[in-house]
Amino acid sequence: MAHMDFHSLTSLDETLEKLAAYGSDATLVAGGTSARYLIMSGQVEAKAVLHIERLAEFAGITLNGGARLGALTNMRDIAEDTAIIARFASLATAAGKCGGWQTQSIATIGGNVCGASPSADLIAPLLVQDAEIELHSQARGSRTVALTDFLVAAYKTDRAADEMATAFHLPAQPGESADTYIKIQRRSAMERPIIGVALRLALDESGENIREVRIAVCGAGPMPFRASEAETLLAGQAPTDEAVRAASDAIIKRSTFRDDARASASYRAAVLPRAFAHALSLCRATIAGA
Amino acid sequence: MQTPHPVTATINGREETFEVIGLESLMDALRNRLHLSGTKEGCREGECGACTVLLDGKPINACIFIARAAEGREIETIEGLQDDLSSRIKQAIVETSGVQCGYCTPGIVVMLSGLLRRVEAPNEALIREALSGNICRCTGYAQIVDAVLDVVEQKAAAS
Ligand SMILES: Cc1cc2nc3c(=O)[nH]c(=O)nc-3n(C[C@@H](O)[C@@H](O)[C@H](O)COP(=O)(O)OP(=O)(O)OC[C@H]3O[C@@H](n4cnc5c(N)ncnc54)[C@H](O)[C@@H]3O)c2cc1C
Ligand code: FES
Ligand code: FES
Repeated sequence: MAHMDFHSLTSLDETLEKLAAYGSDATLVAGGTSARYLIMSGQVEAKAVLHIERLAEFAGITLNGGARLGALTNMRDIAEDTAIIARFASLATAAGKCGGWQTQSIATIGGNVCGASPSADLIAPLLVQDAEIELHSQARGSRTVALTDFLVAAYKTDRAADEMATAFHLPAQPGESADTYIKIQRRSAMERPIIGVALRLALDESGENIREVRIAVCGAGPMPFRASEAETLLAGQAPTDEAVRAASDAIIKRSTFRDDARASASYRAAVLPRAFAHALSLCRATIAGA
Repeated sequence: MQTPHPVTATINGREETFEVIGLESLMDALRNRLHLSGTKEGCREGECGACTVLLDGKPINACIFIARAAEGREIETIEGLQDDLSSRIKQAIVETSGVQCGYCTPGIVVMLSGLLRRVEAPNEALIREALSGNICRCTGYAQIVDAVLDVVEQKAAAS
């Protein structure tokens, strides 16, 4: 293997300076649970590794009506955070299902999203919160982008070579609402999702009709996506079997399914409507019980 | 050619300096450079938990952790876990026949020490969840879970 510089950084200024200097020759490594493999296997060519896991100021969760999660917050801390469990349950559930606890203790939310893997579990839950990602660079300071715009394609984001993601911003959740994440996998742990469905549901005052529903699906296309057609169909409606079926059809229409080692395309197409209906009924039950 | 690079970290309470190359894993450094072979090598990809060590008190997969990222930090391996709680976990695993070939055992003891230091009295569901990243091909886990429940019970009786 060729020579590779390695810098373990502890401040943002230092990191941004190195990013500016190395440009696209640098690879950021947070927990390294994906990045180390990508570099060692030659899939990513890194002339310099910038290890950012120690930037303590970007690890942690602050509540502000909504929530701000530092990009270096690890999965275990997200899964166990009582406020995240109460307000953004889908995110806590997804984080608690990314590998074993040993992986979750070092894998970060920033790495999960910036890796932009089609099967990244946190993306769908973040999409249903209308989350934004904040990035910093030395040349241009900070900018905040909607996650939908940040994720360009599989393994491709809108991050410029000199930028580091620093935080995720989750707006306050609408009142009378609940969210959930359903991960379809063959074992109950240690699997990437075959299908993932994140859903946030808000009901109107009557508690009968849907005020707003946000649906994001993973494993049904090249990248996780918001099923906006289905969302529109359900807005203002009572969630009757018929309405749910129509929404389900709209999600399927939007999806492309593939065969891979984990499951067949036809299995994915069969399981997605069930996962969606289940997510909807779980959210209704949570709201009714609250 | 990659030049070796020194790393200094506290390993089992002692400051150690060792040389590593490139993105060498903490597991390889522990086993091959510090000769701490209690940390086992299973899958080398974070799936089996045989290589579990504590980093600043948290269980991690040493096989996917970059050794150079351990600079200045505190690592505990199975060799260092001699405290009362860890000893009770080991004893309970022996008593419940939670060991067969033993390959997974160091990783499981490290994982459980990390869990029980942090959570006073985990229930069975939490114990199983905490162990989901530790693969045991022999025992089927039931005896290992029983061992932890025994330790929890002993702790409750003693207090
Ligand atoms: C055993 C095992 C099981 C797994 N199971 C799952 C699973 O079930 N679901 C799932 O979604 N994932 C899973 N993963 C993948 C896991 O690696 C990622 O989910 C993890 O979140 C990545 O975080 P990290 O901090 O380790 O990122 P790294 O590996 O350090 O980085 C990943 C990518 O993000 C970039 N990056 C990291 N941080 C930043 C930042 N702050 N700003 C800009 N770019 C950044 C890196 O340059 C790299 O391209 C698993 C991994 C392992 C080893
Ligand atoms: S060897 Fe590290 S998890 Fe298997
Ligand atoms: S005792 Fe053999 S793998 Fe667990």
